[in-house]
Amino acid sequence: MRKVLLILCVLVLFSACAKQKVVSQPPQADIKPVQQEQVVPKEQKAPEMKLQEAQIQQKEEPKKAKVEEVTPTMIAQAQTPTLETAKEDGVLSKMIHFDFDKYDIKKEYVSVLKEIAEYLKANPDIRILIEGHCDERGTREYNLQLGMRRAESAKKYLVDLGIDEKRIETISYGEDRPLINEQNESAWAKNRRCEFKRIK
Amino acid sequence: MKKVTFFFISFILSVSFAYSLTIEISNPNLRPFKLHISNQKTKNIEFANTLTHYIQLMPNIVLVDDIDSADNSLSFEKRGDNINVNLLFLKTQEMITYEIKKAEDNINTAIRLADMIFEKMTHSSGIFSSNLVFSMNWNGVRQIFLSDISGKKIRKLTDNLTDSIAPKISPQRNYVVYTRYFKTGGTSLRLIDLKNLDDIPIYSSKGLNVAGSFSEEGTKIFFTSYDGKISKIFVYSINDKRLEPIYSSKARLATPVKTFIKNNISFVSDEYGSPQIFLYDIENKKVKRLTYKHNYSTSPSFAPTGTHFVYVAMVSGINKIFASSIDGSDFALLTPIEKGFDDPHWSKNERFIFALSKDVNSSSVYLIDIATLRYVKLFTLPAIISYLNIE
Repeated sequence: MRKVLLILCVLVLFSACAKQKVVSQPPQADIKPVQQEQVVPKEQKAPEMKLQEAQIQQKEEPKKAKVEEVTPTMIAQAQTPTLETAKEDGVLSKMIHFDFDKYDIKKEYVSVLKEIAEYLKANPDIRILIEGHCDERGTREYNLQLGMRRAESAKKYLVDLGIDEKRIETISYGEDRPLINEQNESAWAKNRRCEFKRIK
Repeated sequence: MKKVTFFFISFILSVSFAYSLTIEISNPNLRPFKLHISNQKTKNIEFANTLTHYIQLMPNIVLVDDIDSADNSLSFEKRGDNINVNLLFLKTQEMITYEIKKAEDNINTAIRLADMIFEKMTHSSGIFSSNLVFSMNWNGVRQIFLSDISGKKIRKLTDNLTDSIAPKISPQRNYVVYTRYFKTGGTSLRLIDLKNLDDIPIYSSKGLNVAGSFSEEGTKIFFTSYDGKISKIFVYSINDKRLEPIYSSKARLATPVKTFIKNNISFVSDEYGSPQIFLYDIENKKVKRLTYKHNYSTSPSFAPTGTHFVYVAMVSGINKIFASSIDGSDFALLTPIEKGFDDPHWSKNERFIFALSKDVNSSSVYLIDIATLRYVKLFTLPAIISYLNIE
């Protein structure tokens, strides 16, 4: 009986939602909405895929979780700046930046990538990690994927310039590691970036 | 039929657009419930204060001073070392008494009792025993945390040397899956068994591996994996440790989540140029796009009925939460305010949406009543918390 009541309750709730009337114009997105006619059919078929075994790298070991109760005071005290990977100098300290929600390499940063490629050619033993970062706008899980695409764009550019892809690793920190903790366009532009770190 | 019109004047003042919502309420359970708590007898009773704190977290329960305007009255009586909690239905004068023994854990008992009282008052299940997981900076490294919905009982679950992010908790609240970074690139998905505290790797590779959600029965995990060339969605079976790729795309894929629709999951993809939400029938391999109204639609969470979902759309640079039916016919903005939100989650009793909002150096977890859009702040922590997930 309770379940029936609950279902009825939900049905009524949604019928109530259906009757919501927006009196004024709805807020406009800052970018034009996707046009319906640009969209391919609403339903499409996904490609066939094969089963596979879960792969686990050897260095990952099972362990026991160490559970610790924490208080707001402890939390406040633990908010030290995020540990940075080693700061680079020289050409690897340069960064490339991106437009909002984009991961294509801008013309103005081609010279930076060429410099890095030349450096890697001159130092064949060096391997690098490219970190992709985002600004705080958007949602965190999606920004994580965006940061990865940025790192991969930079990697592809370096590979196209003749660098062995095995010498380049990529990772995304999404919006978790901003360069500048401010909420303005200048800070966001600087935070949308790729950093290049030497793998030691 | 009772007709109530809600004018969000304060919201209208603070936003650049105006909304007027007319909600027809035919079911009395959808209205706010008025509760009077007898203050005189609650003095110096720690348990009474704890219980009151939990109950007032519910956006559809309004505490009133005037007993005549209340639906129910809650009073406390000391009986030796024990406490009797009395819930009185003022209309029928029916009373339910709960006896609380002194030795019991105050917080856990208050949570259980709050659920019972909520259920009796509103005829829908309580959500006080829900658990939250999130990641947060801890001395320079992001770790995984587990909390109750009041933020009073927070436990750090990991002590890793590299960042640990994006935790998801199983519906049965017995597992947490999360992503751990490797120092030299690549990530692994790890599973914590909350009973025996085993923390085991379940999948690792170069690139990014991020879990979206557990399946309804809690035995499978949906996650995305991107190796730099192609994005895949996998289903990992916890019991037989089997991995099944179910979808792949050159587009960005994110947040594969359960939908409560048989054999269907939902995910985010930018296949058509901007992030949008899709429904995927795993068995028939059919993909259906669900969102069209905004150019940035992410973070879906489905109602337990499977008929509706909430998601985050970016509007004028602000993350707003919208609710929509699967076919798009029902559509409503749930957060018509300047504040931005992330990680919306539909509560198990279908009445509320949990969501995360951050300020410069703090974060708050909110509970939004989808019938009235009234919202309450459950708790604030002095840190930026991220990747909130709730069951």
